[in-house]
Amino acid sequence: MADLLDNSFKPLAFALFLLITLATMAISIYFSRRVRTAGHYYVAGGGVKWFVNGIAFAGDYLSAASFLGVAGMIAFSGFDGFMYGIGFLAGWIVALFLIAEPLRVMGKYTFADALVHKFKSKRVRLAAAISTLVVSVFYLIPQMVGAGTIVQPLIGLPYEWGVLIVGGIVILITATAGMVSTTWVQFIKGLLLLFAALGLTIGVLIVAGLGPLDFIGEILNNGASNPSTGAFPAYSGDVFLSPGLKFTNPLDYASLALALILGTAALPHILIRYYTVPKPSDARKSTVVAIFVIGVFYILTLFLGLGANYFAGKGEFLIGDSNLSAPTLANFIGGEVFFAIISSIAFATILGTVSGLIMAAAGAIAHDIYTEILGKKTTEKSALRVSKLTAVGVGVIAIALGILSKGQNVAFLVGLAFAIAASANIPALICTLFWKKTSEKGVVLGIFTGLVLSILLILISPTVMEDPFFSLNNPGIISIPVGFAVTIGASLMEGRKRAPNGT
Amino acid sequence: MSRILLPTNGSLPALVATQAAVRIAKEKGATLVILKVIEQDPALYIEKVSEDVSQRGGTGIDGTTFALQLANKVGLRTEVLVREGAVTGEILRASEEDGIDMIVMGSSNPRGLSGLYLGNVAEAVTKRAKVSVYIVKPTEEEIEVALAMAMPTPIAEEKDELSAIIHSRKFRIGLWLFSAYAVLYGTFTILGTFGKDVLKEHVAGLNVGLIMGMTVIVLAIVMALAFNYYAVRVEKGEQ
Repeated sequence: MADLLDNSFKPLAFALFLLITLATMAISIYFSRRVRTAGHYYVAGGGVKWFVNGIAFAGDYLSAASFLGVAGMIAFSGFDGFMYGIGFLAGWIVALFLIAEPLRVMGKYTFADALVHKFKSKRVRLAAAISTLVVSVFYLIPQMVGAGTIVQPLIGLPYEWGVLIVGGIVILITATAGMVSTTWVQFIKGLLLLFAALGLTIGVLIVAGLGPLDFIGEILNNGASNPSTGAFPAYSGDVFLSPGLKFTNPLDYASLALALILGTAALPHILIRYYTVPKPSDARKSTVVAIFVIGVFYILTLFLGLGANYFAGKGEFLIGDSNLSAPTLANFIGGEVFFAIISSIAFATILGTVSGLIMAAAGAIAHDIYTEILGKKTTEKSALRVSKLTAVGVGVIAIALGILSKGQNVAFLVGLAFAIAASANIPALICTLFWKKTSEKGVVLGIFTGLVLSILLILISPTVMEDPFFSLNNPGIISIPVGFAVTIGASLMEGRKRAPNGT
Repeated sequence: MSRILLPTNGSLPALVATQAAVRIAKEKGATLVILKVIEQDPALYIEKVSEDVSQRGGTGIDGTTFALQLANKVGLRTEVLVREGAVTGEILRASEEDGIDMIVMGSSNPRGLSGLYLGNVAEAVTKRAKVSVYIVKPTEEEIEVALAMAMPTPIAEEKDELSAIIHSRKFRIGLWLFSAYAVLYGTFTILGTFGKDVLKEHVAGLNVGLIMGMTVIVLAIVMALAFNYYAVRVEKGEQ
């Protein structure tokens, strides 16, 4: 009786999918024409309200990675998947206590602007812009993978089509009009995701007939299944609910933990949101709202992942692709309608996140590199052309990489993007904000070292190579400390060189 | 109760007009209604970002903030309007919808294209407005004065603000909380790396790992709420 989700065309699911996707686009366009929007723009006494911004943070953050990836990782690897949720949330503590208010005071528009604000240097801007671009592209890959995965059972199209559809729609949005403010779209999606996860969790507990703690205890005592074969028990509860199933090398676990806690505050599309609120205190308040929503969400995700594993073990269904764990579970709990709603929300979320990321990347090229660094006296027309071309270019790259990454777990890919962001941006950001001796050279070298080293380590890791030179899947534990060391070292050397000259 | 409308985009003539508007409002005891128009067209978001940046890049001043600062200094009543659309149309509509008695705005900018653009706007507004329009034609001298008033503050203030935040008691408490959290997260990570057996121990129907993991999540929420509660009280006390 156990079945995979079938990939046939489902008229009802398709209709719901179309409805939610169109509604998302309509909301986006509608709010873009309303008075107080323009997410990046702020005025004293106006701007985006902290509560809205906080939920929008969650909407931005809880992308395909969380909903599809983390739930899937928990369903397949138990505790190691839960670690992703814990780390994704812990990153916000760094954002709250170290970054939110100080960054907001350095108020401009982007991460690059904040650094340039201190150093007034084109090299710093170039380094920050390149890093923004690279991190955005790496963060785009998992979104594309999520999109491709979800359209298969939802509307019966092959994986590659899903990637193409998302890429195409987003390129269309960014190249024509409408995508002015994602804030309201993310706000609504953040709420929808939260309620969907809550509904699904309650459904799991009701169908299982167990209380929340009893449910976990049940798996701990009776063991867990392998959701792709339905074998039960495939693992003992002790093995499944403790670290080591996914991270066979224990250092991988530590490396991921470090990348996740430092990665959040280094993501360009998250940082940009700190500039949408009027005051530093609002930046803090919206972070608190985000922590609340995201924290609750990840606790719910634990139940979604374990629920998928539990019912697969009961022979109710099989899961072929770990990213489909939550949608498969929804299909079982609430039938095709619920499945379609959950999947469409996930798809719409991907749409919003991808648009935001492509905008961030296009902004880095159009504003930072083309206008500021190349010093082109841009007319409105040429700036428009450059940003459009960039949006299309980045979109095409994301489509290609998305197709190449087929079959990878979404949360895992996001973990890599976090590692790159943390390695490149966090040393520069922390040092610039808190260490007066930080030099321009230190920041530039630190950013490039973190960026290049983390990508290099990924390229020679088991993720990419069959016979890897570097045995860890996540490079964070090496590349983040090295990034700090280079930033601090270069700053100190420069300071020492200067001292004898008395400057 | 009269109301004076000041459309501003932070450009040089607008800054000079801001001074005039504040002076006139003070004389008349009027409310100063500050209007910022976000241009709807061109529709692309990116362009808007670069446009805003280039506008601010010109003077580095946020027109609305500047106007609020001046107005607060002399104790004027103020309102801030943000509208989206075509500049001229939004100014006219705001003046009709908000019961405006007079519009004060800057005329052409001798220093750049954006000023030329606002110049056209001033002309168009004058032609079609139903109330008096006071157009300020700034001299070089007045521009220097306005710049001197607006420029030095932002950078110095931001630096002070940064160090004020970093050295505040509130931020130190935040750092302390962060350290506590980092220790817990670090312990959790180290146990997950080297002490798996500890995490496997059964406690209260669950195991240590799950309980610690949930604690890390719940503690983040509790800390965030508690810190915010404290920070809000501190900020209220400062006011």
